[in-house]
Amino acid sequence: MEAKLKNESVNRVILEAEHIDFSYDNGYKVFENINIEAETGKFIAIIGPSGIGKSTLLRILGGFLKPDSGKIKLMGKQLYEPTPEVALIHQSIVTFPWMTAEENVMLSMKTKNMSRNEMVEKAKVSLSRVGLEGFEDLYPKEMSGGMRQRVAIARAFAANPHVFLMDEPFAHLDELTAEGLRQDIYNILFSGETPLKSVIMVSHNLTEVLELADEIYILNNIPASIIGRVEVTMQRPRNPRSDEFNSNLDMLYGYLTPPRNKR
Amino acid sequence: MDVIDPNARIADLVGLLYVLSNIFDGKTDLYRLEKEMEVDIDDLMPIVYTASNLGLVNAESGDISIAEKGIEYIKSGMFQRKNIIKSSLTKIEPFNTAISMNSFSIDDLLDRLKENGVQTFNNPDGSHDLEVILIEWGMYSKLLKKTDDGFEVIS
Amino acid sequence: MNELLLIILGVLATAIQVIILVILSIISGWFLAYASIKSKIFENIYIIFIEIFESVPVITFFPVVLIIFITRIGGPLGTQLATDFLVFTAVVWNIWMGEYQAFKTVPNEMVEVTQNSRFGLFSKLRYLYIPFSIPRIAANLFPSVSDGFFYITVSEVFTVGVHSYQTFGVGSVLDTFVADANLHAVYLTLLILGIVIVCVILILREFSRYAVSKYTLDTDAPILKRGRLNIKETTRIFAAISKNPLSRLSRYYKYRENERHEEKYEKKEKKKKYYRYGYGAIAILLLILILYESVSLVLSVKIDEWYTLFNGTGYLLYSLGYDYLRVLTILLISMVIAIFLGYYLAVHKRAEFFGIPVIQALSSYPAPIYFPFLFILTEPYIIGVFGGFTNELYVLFLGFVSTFYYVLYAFWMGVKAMPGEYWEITKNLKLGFFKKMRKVILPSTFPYLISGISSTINSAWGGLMIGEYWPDIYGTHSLEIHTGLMKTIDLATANGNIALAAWGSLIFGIIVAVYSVVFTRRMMDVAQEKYVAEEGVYSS
Repeated sequence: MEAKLKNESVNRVILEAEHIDFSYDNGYKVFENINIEAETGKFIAIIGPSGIGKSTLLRILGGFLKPDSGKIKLMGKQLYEPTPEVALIHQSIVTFPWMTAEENVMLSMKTKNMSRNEMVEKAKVSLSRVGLEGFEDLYPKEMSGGMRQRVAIARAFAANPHVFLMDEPFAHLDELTAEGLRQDIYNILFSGETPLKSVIMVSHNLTEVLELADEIYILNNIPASIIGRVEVTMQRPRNPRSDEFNSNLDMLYGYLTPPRNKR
Repeated sequence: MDVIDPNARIADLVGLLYVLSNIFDGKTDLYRLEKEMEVDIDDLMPIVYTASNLGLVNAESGDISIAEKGIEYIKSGMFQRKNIIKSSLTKIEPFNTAISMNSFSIDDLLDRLKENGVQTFNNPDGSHDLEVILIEWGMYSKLLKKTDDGFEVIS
Repeated sequence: MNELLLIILGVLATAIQVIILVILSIISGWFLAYASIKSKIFENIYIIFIEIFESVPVITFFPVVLIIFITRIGGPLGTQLATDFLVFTAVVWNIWMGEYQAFKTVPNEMVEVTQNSRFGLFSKLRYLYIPFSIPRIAANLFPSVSDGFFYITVSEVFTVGVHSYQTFGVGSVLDTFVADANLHAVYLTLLILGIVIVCVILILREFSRYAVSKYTLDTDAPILKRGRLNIKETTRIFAAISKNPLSRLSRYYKYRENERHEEKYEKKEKKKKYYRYGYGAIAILLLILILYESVSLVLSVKIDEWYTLFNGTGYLLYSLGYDYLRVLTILLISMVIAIFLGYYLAVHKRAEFFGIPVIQALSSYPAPIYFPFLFILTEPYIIGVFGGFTNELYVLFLGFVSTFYYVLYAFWMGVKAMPGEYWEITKNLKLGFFKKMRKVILPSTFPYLISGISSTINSAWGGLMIGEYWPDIYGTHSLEIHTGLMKTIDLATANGNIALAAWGSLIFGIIVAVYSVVFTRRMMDVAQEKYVAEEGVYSS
């Protein structure tokens, strides 16, 4: 009985960072003892002031950068290098201009043992999941930013990822577009038709974070460490003008501006 | 003449409808919307005109409110949303003209639009704007599909 | 009819060789560029290698190279390979450098996408690096092809001592016709070469257009018009952060200031500065390595000839001084023309539309091919006016025609790349032409000018090499100047004195290499640090 419970708890945590320390080559220490757990079905957000190293942290979580010490574990197994199972979605929209939408999506299947037909089929499915059926032969240049972002997400989906790492995916967009994409992408991510289990997003937009996240990690200090972990229990859709929302916002700012006597 | 603004995007539409229904309980002044969203009129007006032309919002005298169809849109899944856009597009340009032509190239459509008195695309960027609009709205809603030398209405 | 066939075959042989060598450079460059982004050590060696050889006109080493190929491989194949080697070294640097720069500038995000999917070497090259490098290759193809034509036509017929070496191509075909005094055939050859070159240029233009439309990142420009950086959003965040005293403090902290700009997730690159001095040493070492064969040739020479060589060194340097004066003259004239013509072209759309292709075609048409005919036609008049200075004038002219395009191009591109805001400022301030030049245009085109100047200097040497001693340019008439290192090398080659030719080349090579490291590189650095106009306008 006990063993079974333990097993379940291992399975519940999809991606996990344990005691991460990290420095740049010049010796500048960025992170100290970072611990993060992303559980199944959770949208995790990491916030912190600009320059604190949020993007760097995301890349450590994805295996793109090696921590000085500590471990990243994907479903209990240590992660040493990037894997298609943990897909990184960038701040700038990354599509390859010399490839059609379909070819862009097929890119993430190139290293898998699949026939071309299978890949084409899978790419179609991925594209239609983000609403782009019929767009297979279009080049990114012919599409708007929103559509391109969908292509990038379809590409990540095609590799059947368990975790999405999102690096301020809406930062370059004006607020109206960003709002629309946020809603669309949230619906796509959690439509339940994919093996995707969790999303970790870094952002400096606190409103955005409160709108989307189930759990928020707050990063601060130099070197940076997690100074707070907040569960967001508000019901969706969340109204940024509601009192509940504002009190949550207030609490987040509280973490970013600690009492004076502490410093 | 009701036209899709060249700068209007699907994502903006979702954003606008979502903000209207979720934050403003379906109705507000445009200036409040502008303040809340921290956008300027360049960002805001294209999608307001377009959403209004599509019948998803009602905008007049500085007020904006979400229409029945807009509420239905927000509540629907992706498939149904596409259908709503598709059926709304048929009455406004450039799609009205496009449907009458059935199969066309960008240049042909540009010429026909000019003949029909639609001036929106009658500028140096017009051809590109038109293509983007056809793809963004027409192809996305499955009203149009791409052919080798242009577009075709999906029957 | 036979004659026509021969001409067409000759021209095609030449053109196809150039094209094949260009393709070879492109393919080899991809792998070398990839190696250099993967290994810092390789990168340092590779870059210095490219820079040195880009600045040393390889034609000065051609006699030595030729001898090596002939003694090691021998026969027609040796000659052919020697020619191809020369052309390869002429076309390769631009392309290699372009590919290297492309690989260096592949956006990190795109690399991460390929890492995310665990791409291997070939997949990365195929799907990311190679496509990304296509526009830069397209940009560098044009000068490479025109250099290729230049050098292949001069190397197809080459005389060392009593031996004359020939490979089949337009140069050797033309040489035969000239020897037979078959003027009709000569004109026909020039015409057909012209047609082929124009065709090549047109194809290159189409290719460039295609490359740019398909392979360039549009940096999401049209959509960012919709989703442009949200200034208000940024200020809101800053307002939030400034409540945190620590992050305000951090703004004064130098390290953080740099980091703050965008979150750096790349491990910092090691400082490059102290490699600098190692550079020169490595460069000269490499040069010596490459010249090992020629040195060994020199070593095979008797001891007392060494004395002669050393004793002659003073004179060689003195001659080199003369040549530097010539290069400087050519450069100055080229620059003046470039600045006025380049400016005119850049601001007059119609002139540009017709002018640029004409200049491209002209500059691809190898000067050594038409130069003798120009010489025959004009010499009687020129000699009447300039007397003893005539030959000098012709040599300068040859140097000029084989080179001035580079600086013209570079300047034209620089003007084209100037931010529109600068033009508005010059109008706003009602600056006159010269003031505008001095205050705005020259400084903002400085990086372009420098790179144009360095190519111009390089090609000027090629022109001098050919012009300073041109035996039997027509009939028994020779073009020859009084003093010049290029002439000394040419003469030594013609007399079969390979030891002297190699020694002269070596000295020349070292000086040019040192000059390049000390001067050109410095200017490039200054240009990049101080005059990058694109950064003068804050884009939002």
